Amino acid sequence: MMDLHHVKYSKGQFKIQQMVFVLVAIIILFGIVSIFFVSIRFGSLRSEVDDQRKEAVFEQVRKMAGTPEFIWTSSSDCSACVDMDKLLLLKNRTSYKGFWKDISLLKVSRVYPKYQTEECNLNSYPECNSITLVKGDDISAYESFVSLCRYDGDIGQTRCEMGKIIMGFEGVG
Amino acid sequence: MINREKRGQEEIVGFVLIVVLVVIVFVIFLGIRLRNPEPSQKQSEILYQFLESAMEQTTDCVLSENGRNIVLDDLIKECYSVDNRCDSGMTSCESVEKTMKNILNNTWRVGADYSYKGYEIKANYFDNSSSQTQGEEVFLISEGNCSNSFDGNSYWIPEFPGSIIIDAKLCA
Repeated sequence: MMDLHHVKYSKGQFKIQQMVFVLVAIIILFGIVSIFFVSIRFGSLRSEVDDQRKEAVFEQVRKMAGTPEFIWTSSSDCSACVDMDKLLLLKNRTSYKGFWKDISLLKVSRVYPKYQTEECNLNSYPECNSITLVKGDDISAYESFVSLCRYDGDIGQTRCEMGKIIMGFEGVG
Repeated sequence: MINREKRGQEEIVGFVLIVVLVVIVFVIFLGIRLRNPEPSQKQSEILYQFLESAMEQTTDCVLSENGRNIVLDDLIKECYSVDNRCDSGMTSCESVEKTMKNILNNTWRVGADYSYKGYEIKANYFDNSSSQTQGEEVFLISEGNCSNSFDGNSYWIPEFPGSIIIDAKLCA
């Protein structure tokens, strides 16, 4: 029977063993470094995808300004102009209840100039800031810039002002 | 035997030194990278929407030629070409600047406490017939600090024989 305590290893075998240890250590080190870099790279990729998705949602929200219920029709070409007079009348229409399915919040809001009264009604209009068509709770809201246009009798012409459409969806993060 | 052990110890010290050196280089590289995040310049759809909508804004400037309140993009053209006075006494360029600043201040909150540290809106006229790369400045509005990281976009207003290009930057 062979006594393992007395096996003689050659110098070459030691060298090979030593080299194997060094190689394994280097491979582990580079492995850790590459895992670290890949995780950083994928982290930024995920945020880029999120940004692109958000931009797509902003575009979709803005498309609402082009629907017949919202659009301002005049001689000038303006696809992102909303007719405020139309929206004020639409707000009180019972026939439009439940018209915008799956939308929990639908609101247009003036950005500039701002007035003291927040929500518009027939008495406060046009010196008010927003018209809410659908109002719900527990929503994720997205905003897009539009122009809010109306006929202004004081200056005898169309007046367009900076505003935004705010749309909220249930359970969308 | 003692000589062989000594040689082995030297090799281990050498290996440890190499590992320590690699780790130090890695930590320094990581430190630099984390301290100076890469400048990011992203094209922003929301900024384009902002510029497009802002250009439709009816301003308080009434030019005596037609007696109508002029729209912001026409007022910018007026500012570049003639710079007439509005009925209020302001020049068209002053009126552009005032309207634009009011819109910006009501839209973006910028500063050290906010996610956006500053903004810069720049309008330049470029003549299509010449091959100029540097445009003629029409106006420049800026607020806060702008570094290399920003969201940006441009809006184009035709003004024969060239065009006015408005560049907007929101700095992070």
